[in-house]
Amino acid sequence: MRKNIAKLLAVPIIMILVVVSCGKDFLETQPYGSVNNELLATSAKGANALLIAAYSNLDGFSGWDNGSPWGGAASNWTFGSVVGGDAYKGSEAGDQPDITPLERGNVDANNPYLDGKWRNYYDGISRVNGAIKAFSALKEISPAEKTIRLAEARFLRAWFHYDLWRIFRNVPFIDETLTDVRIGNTTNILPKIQADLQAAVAGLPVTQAEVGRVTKGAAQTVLAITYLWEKKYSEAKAQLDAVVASGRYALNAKYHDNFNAATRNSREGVLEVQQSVNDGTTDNGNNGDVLNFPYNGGPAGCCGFHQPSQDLVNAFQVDANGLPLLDTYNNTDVKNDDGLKTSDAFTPHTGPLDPRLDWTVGRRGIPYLDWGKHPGSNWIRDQSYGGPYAPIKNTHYKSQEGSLTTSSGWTSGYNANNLKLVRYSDVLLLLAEAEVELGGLERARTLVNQIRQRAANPAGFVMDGANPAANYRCGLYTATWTDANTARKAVRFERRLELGTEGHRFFDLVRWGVASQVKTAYFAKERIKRTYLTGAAHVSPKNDIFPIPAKAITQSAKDGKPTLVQNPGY
Amino acid sequence: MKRLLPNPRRTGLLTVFFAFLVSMAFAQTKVGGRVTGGDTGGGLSGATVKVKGTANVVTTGADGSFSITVPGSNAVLEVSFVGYETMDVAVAGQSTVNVSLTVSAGALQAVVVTGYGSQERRSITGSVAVVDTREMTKYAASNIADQLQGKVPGVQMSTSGDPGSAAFVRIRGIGTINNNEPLYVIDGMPVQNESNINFLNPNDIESIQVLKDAASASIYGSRAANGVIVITTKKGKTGTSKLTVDMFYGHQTPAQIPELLSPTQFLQVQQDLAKGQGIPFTSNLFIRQGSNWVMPDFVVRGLGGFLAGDPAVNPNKYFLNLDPTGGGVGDYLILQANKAGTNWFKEVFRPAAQKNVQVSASGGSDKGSYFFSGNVYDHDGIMLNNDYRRYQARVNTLFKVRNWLRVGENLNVAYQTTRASMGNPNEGSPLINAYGVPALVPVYDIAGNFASPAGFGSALSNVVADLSRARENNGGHSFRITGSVFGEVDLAKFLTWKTSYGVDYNSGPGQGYGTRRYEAVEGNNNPNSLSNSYFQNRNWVFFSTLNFKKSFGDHKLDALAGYEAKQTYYEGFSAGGSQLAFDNFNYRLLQNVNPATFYMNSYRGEHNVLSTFVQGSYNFNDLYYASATVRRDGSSRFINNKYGIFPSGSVGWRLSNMKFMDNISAINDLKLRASYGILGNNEVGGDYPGFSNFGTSLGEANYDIRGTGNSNVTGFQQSSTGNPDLKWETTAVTNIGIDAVVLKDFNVMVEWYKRDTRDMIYNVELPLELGAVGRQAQNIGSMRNTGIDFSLGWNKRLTRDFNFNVAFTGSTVKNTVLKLEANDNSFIRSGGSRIGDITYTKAGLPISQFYGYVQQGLWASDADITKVLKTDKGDAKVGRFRYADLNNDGKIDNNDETYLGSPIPTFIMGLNLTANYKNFDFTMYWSGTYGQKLFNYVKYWTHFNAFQRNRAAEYLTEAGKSLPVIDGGDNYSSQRNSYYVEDGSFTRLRNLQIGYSLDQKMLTKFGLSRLRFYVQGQNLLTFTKYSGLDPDVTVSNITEGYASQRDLSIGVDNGRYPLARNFIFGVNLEF
Repeated sequence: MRKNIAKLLAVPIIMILVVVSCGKDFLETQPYGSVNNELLATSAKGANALLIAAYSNLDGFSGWDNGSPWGGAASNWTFGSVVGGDAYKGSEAGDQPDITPLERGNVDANNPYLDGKWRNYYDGISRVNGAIKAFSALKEISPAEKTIRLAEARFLRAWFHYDLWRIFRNVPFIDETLTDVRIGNTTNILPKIQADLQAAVAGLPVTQAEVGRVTKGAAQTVLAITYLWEKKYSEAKAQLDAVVASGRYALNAKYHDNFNAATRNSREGVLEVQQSVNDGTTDNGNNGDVLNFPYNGGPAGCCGFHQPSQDLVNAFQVDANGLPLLDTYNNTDVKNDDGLKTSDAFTPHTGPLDPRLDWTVGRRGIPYLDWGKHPGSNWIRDQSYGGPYAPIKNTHYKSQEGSLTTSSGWTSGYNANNLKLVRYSDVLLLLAEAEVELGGLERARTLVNQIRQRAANPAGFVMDGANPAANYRCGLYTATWTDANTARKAVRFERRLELGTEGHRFFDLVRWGVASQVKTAYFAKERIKRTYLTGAAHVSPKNDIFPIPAKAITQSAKDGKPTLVQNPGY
Repeated sequence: MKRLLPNPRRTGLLTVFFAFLVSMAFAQTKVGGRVTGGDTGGGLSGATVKVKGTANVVTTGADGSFSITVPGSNAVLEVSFVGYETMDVAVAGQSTVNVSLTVSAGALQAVVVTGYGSQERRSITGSVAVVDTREMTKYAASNIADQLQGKVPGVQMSTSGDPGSAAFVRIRGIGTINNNEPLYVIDGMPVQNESNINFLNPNDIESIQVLKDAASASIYGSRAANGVIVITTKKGKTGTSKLTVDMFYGHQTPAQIPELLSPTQFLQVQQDLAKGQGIPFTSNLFIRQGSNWVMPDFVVRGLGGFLAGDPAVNPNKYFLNLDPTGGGVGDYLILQANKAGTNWFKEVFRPAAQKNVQVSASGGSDKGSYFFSGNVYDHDGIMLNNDYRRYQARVNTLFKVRNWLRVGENLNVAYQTTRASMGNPNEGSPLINAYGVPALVPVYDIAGNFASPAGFGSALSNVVADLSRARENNGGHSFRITGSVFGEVDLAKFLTWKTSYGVDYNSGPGQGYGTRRYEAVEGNNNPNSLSNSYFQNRNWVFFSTLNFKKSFGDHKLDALAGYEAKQTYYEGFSAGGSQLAFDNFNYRLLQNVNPATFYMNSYRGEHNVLSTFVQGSYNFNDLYYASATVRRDGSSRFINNKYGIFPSGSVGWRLSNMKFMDNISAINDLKLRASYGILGNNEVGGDYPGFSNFGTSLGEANYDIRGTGNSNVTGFQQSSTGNPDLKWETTAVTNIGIDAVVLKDFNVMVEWYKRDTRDMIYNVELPLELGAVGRQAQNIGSMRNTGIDFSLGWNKRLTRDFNFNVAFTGSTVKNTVLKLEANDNSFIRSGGSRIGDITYTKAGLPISQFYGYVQQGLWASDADITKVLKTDKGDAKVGRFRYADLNNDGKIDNNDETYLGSPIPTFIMGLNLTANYKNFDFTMYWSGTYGQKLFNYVKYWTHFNAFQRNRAAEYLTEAGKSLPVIDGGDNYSSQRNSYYVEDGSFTRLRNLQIGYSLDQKMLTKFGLSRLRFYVQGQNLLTFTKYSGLDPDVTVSNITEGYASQRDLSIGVDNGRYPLARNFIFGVNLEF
């Protein structure tokens, strides 16, 4: 009997153990460290955080799952600068070989750079739409703030779509009302971009307390660019005039202050992507351009991409009056050290040059910020492949290492040098363009001279000791502009000099309808220097836009059929 | 009352007494001797020795010795032991009779652990492979998966030579595009989602059963879809106590070293690259002498190559700023070019030692039993500074408190360290670097510091430097406690209640330290850095079962009902920073980093499963068998479809027990069996697939909206897209098998199976316009595997001193993806690389097909190009690879790519030969895998114009023949194409072993019961056509990426850890 009691006791004890160990909620677990949308979207704090996350995509990086930072880079150093002929891919042939077909005009739809761009920006758009939904429904916020935040969001949505539009052209416009994003890409989305921008112009203040937030001026400028694409010159002029009239913006006294981390968010910045370092990650510090530094012993030490082209360098040649050689700039090369070792003797070009050259291009024998003189091939990864030049606009000063660059990470190329998507000089040049087309040639000349006046400031020259590092000359257009063609040529040329390697060039060429003509001439000369450009071609209209990523088409299937259509010719 | 009843023991004794009396009538003789296992030579304790025709029985002692009285000199002894063939031995007048038993071929009498209980092997109707652990442990290794390779039909196994690395185990093919890791059950404790069970000491293992079909595995329901490996560790045996010591020492050498370019050839290649591109050769490194280029005598970092006597190479100029916080500017590093050539493979992969010491003690009585073991395993990898160590102890005890109550525990404690593991075989791995660094680079520069490869080519590392630093990181420390406590109560003779609570606790500190890599090509200015991490995985399993076992005449009934709850919980953190003022080892604490560089992270998660199950089996007179199981599992991973029900049933028919078979003497045993059932899989690559959630991320969601330049404001981004309707992935398995013993010595097992997986779970990519949130777990497809597993055994005692055993296992598998609906598409691309996605998984084809262009020699002439490429020549050029224009549209583009082969082997085999002659034992073990193709991606680095690196010697010698003409502008030939795809079939002599056991007489003097010495050679021969270092390629890295996506890119050789050839000397000691 005793053992039966023991047995009878054992069973209930086990039963109790079972019940205690497994409560009702045992199979109801929730993820740690994150929150659901209800919690976020119903508070001002949450809605703002959703908007911040959308801002975070302005740099073109939203996580490795969406592609590399350089693939989606907001600076468009690949899609704008390399494809536009301002620069070569650079580095060595085997590194990032996916850029080569972009540069050569034979890209296919599987290229990961296309994918990266597409994913990053649509991710940004998705984030914006979440923020718009949250702010729209939010009650615990003042109407004034709500207006501004919604206007910011719509600007961001417009900007993301605009960049996709100018790269891929036939893209879907995704707004917060869609439940299924598979809407096809056969409708022109420019009107929707403009509607967002108009709403942004209406809702945004001229200045914001937080300098990283977008402003009315940015919205007006971007809206104006979309008008220029449509050749709606007076509409564009109206917006740009308003930006000028706001008095909010001015040119920096020194050209290079635009590319110095210490002088970011100056009055010349109309739309700047905020870059930060030593904030717990390296991903916020000029991530998209982190490969674009000299090589070996040079600043940041990696990875030698985005090497300026000889064509660009030649464009900085000037005549005795310091004016650009609009038609003959490429007849002779600016002297370079291609084929020379660092130990070989070399004297830099002695002819007159626009002073902006050495703030745009790192070249042998010229001081490279405070890093000493560019030593030539020692800072070049593979000279025979990528040429003798180095990029410089995204580079930090040696004296800024550790403070305005990251203190950790695999390269010190992560720096706080803000990316300027729109500078005030850009505004003035766009306005000059509109004026030329509207017959305001003299206004255009004044605007161009305003740009050149600043460039000509000797205080802003690259100095070698007490003397200018090269034979710098920058004169004003003194003669009246009477011929629209000449004026147009001068304005466009000025745009190249002022905004060289900043990612605008290709889109400008397409906007002006001259991409095929300019690039054909470019390839004819450059392929002799860079043999990998042999066989490269630009055929309009096919090459004016890039193929829709194959993956995007594949993933857009509805009932087994893709809803996105590939661009013609791809 | 009791006294009046006949006492069975007394009755027995009485019988013996009468028998004794009877035998007294004849000449009484004492016979002594020892029973040993023919396989190990070790004494078998507890073996039964019976005088034939009498009731005279004794049991052998701890060392296998016995003493028995026999009626006369012509008596015959019948010697039996579980797992061995019963043997009759004539005494023939001797006073000492030593008996060596042969391992039982079928071992049909054996009891095997299958589900929550055990079962007689003969009554099994499902597909259960019982592993011969004695044979298995003969192969000295750290990991049982390594030992199991080729031993179990239907199981594909592979491990890398990287010490302590995980294993690739696939039971009956690739069952799903999702997670394919089998479930390990160790002493009843399921070890969830594990591809590495190194914490187990292989010598502690008593038995391994592999449950391959639904009938046997469905008792484990969830996660059983990929098969179950049931591991039972050793227990003490009643009546014996013994101590064993096992030791071995191995000497490993790299099996193969590739032939790379010499410095002279390297210079030749550099010139040819320029020539092929049509540009003049120029170099910062090589020296121009007239029209020739020569090798430099010295190289100065950043300045290029120089000849001796140049002022630039004055050693006084040498300067290295070792400021650990960065800097490096102003360094002036000089190295002397190694014109003879540095063999980086030999610098990095060299002979290494493998050591193992293990001690165990075990014993038992009617009050309980114990097993204790301790093990120190020290495995140096053949890669420099790479090692794995295990310090492990196990205690298994059982207490028989009452005759109706037993309690006990199993406890395993393992401390493991791994250093300088090769990690993911990506392009930064030591292997790819050993291929790539030009031979002209010496290991050390003129000052004895690590030489810098800067200026020699692309982003390569001085591998010796990298591995020296990696040694300072204690990357993989883990302290793992696995065990359970259990109680068993016999509620009645036929009814047993068992309850068990098991834990699996794993935790460990990790510290990574990076000293400044002053010699690095890229990032040589980076400061030092420190990272600390800690993780803890805490899993527990509680189960309770009620087991009914009773015979009613010829009817045997066995039923089980049970309940189980299981929790998997994990958490951890990491923190780090850089710019420590000093590099001293003892200075490496987090507070010493520059605060501006500090970062931290933490994580946690859990997964719970609640299950109930019933099982019943019926046996009619060992003639007919039937069993059925139903298990219901609830998983916290699912929201709206938490529960899955997994039923199965099986039947068996032992034909050999039928009357009509009695006359067929050739067939000793014959059983037919068939089963069908459904299994589940809830491994979705995450524990919360049902939730759409938002999280913050410094780099991906936060933004410096205030323009500070050094801080950011928190943002929230959607981090997951939930699917609340996600449900269990299920696999239906049909299994038909035959077991037979014919002509006494031959064992045959043949099985046919079909595995149909439905509702395969995959993280489907949604339309890209949804942004990063566009991955969602969905049930998207189905897959079928069919195949045949078989094993053949022949076991023969040829003479009294010589026996021979052959075991052959083979399996075939055919894999087909039946349906895929990944966002309305019928394929998934995977295996991304420098040349794009290499593998395609598509409905109608096997999983993970290689994809690319079909290469047909080289473009022979411009006319050849023009003839084919009428529309667009693209980058085609004479001397480059010639691709087939499959769609005949006159150009080569993505539409010309096609499926290039399958990495799924068509046949896998294992051949085990053992023999014993007197005191010698001999083992030879072959394994082979056939019919699989491999994608040799390593060739991208060694055989093509990719980066400025050193390359295979073939690159030069085969240029213009089987390889393209050397051309620095050629990115056309290196695209994914059929050239990379090679036959991966191989046959390997994995183990050759000879052992010698000392004579018992000699040993007894020293109080020993067994002393055996052996020598073993591992991986002595490999027969293959594969050109890479090792054809044993499965997934590119078994620990890489989500387990749930690994099988989508199998067969891609990204550069495996080189195979080691191993010579081992070992000792087994027992007393």
